[in-house]
Amino acid sequence: MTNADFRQLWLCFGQAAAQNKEELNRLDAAIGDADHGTNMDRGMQKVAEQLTSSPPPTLQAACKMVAMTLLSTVGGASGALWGSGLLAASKVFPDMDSCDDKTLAAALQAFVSSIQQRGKAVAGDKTMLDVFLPATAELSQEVDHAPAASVIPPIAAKAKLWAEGTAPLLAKRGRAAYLGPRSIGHIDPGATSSALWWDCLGQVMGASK
Amino acid sequence: MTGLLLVSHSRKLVDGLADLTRELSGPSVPIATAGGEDALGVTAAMVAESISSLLSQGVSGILIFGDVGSAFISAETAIELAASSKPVQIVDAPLVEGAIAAAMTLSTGASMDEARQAGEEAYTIRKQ
Repeated sequence: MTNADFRQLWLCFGQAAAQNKEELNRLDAAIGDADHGTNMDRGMQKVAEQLTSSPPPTLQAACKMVAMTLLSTVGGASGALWGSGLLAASKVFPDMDSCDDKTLAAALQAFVSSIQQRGKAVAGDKTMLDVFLPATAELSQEVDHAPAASVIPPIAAKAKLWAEGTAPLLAKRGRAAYLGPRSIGHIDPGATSSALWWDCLGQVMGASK
Repeated sequence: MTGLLLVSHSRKLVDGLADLTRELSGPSVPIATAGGEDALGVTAAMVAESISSLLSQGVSGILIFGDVGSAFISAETAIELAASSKPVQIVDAPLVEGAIAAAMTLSTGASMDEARQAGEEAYTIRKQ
């Protein structure tokens, strides 16, 4: 992944967050406080603005910049989780213009581990990890045998299904957990925005072939 | 002296609690607040800023009390961001009763650990 790919990924996610703002708010209204779309959109627009006006010189710097921007602009668990995850990932990315596929997989693994540690959620708790855990597990496994440019797009294509797969789950973490069994039947908004991110990663890495 | 940091999604909630706590513990205990700045909600950056502000007042440690859910995830992230050499701890306590119990304990000259314990024990004090 190059620094330009990384920038493109977040610009794509910014557009996706803007286009899906109402849908994410609608999903959050069912099991949370109806602001997930507004929050993510606000953060991503700030990220896009920063990446365009003062593009960081290296992958590490860019990742850290996105992390700090989300920590200060996105309230609630999403901002803290995305922010901590990206801070952890920035420590894996090199202070250079690009990284190899294994480093990208390791950075994503660090992102997920940090979110697991902070949010104390496991697979099946109806959270963003229900997309990120299977996706990064597949990536780590397959990146040994094939280039990320061909491995990531098919994983990204499954992300939406993983997000939709949160519907029958009982929420165990976050505000939705207060609803107990009443959280069943609703797709998790955090998993949905995570699927949008994977869709962007799939597009960017697919085009980097 | 150990300082207290009260974190809530609501500015009114922590401002009111800070007033009440200061009234009960006296002016000797440094108390800061975080959250609910523009609208309801907490970011990790808000909590990190309040941690820095307490540290710059020369506190020897910080006990954090929060309201619900993401206040704690934000506080944990903020502790990591602040990377303080002084101890900064989140207390597992009811926000109002815990903050008051810890502040009153600190005002008697007790240690950070004693204040933390007083905060945690506030869960066991029944109202009826």
